[in-house]
Amino acid sequence: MVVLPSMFGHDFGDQIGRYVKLVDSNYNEFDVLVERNNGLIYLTTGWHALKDFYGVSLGSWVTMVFVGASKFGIQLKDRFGRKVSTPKFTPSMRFQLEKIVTPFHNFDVLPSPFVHDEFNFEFSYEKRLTGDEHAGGFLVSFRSSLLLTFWFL
Amino acid sequence: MDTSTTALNILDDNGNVWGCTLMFGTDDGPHFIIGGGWKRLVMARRLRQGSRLVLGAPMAGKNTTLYLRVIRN
Repeated sequence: MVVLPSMFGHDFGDQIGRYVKLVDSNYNEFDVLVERNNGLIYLTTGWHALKDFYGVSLGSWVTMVFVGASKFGIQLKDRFGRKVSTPKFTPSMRFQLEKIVTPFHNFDVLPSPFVHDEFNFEFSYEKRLTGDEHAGGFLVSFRSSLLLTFWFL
Repeated sequence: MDTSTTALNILDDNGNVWGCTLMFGTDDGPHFIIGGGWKRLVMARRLRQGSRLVLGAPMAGKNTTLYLRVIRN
């Protein structure tokens, strides 16, 4: 989660909608949910996707350039100021949000980062990826334990 | 899960949704194969052989969305 500077929010806040799109130099795109509280603009759900994608850790920097229409160009640097390389995919990667389930925006609640609802893990299954599932792009789940019964009901 | 559907959404722990394909097979016992957007998810989350994942579902029944938590990528 990130909070945009209040000065930026004051000047451009009205040009930012419910979602923003972050685009890097290789046209990879991240949809991020916008939440507002006490005059501040928070980027919440979707922001964390940058961490794995660029392989960055604590102390890294993200430069965001507002290009209008809820869109930002982004560039990353590590904590020593070195440019973080931008992964290239064809077609470029799109990180999308499930926009329908976005909760009603309550202005009184301080925005918080996205977390899974524990209820969604009532039936859960832990798995270590095998070579095929990684290389071939498939995840195979066999009915091998009681935990898995939900697959087939 | 529904054996007649061919689409499945996976919601990961960043809140991103990945549209995947679903194939139901009966060879070597009943199983589902998740493909399509799964491969994009693997690349985007930098998953590799040995990565640990938890898949979750809220209830027994027709789950058209599964929930994913990456323990270690």
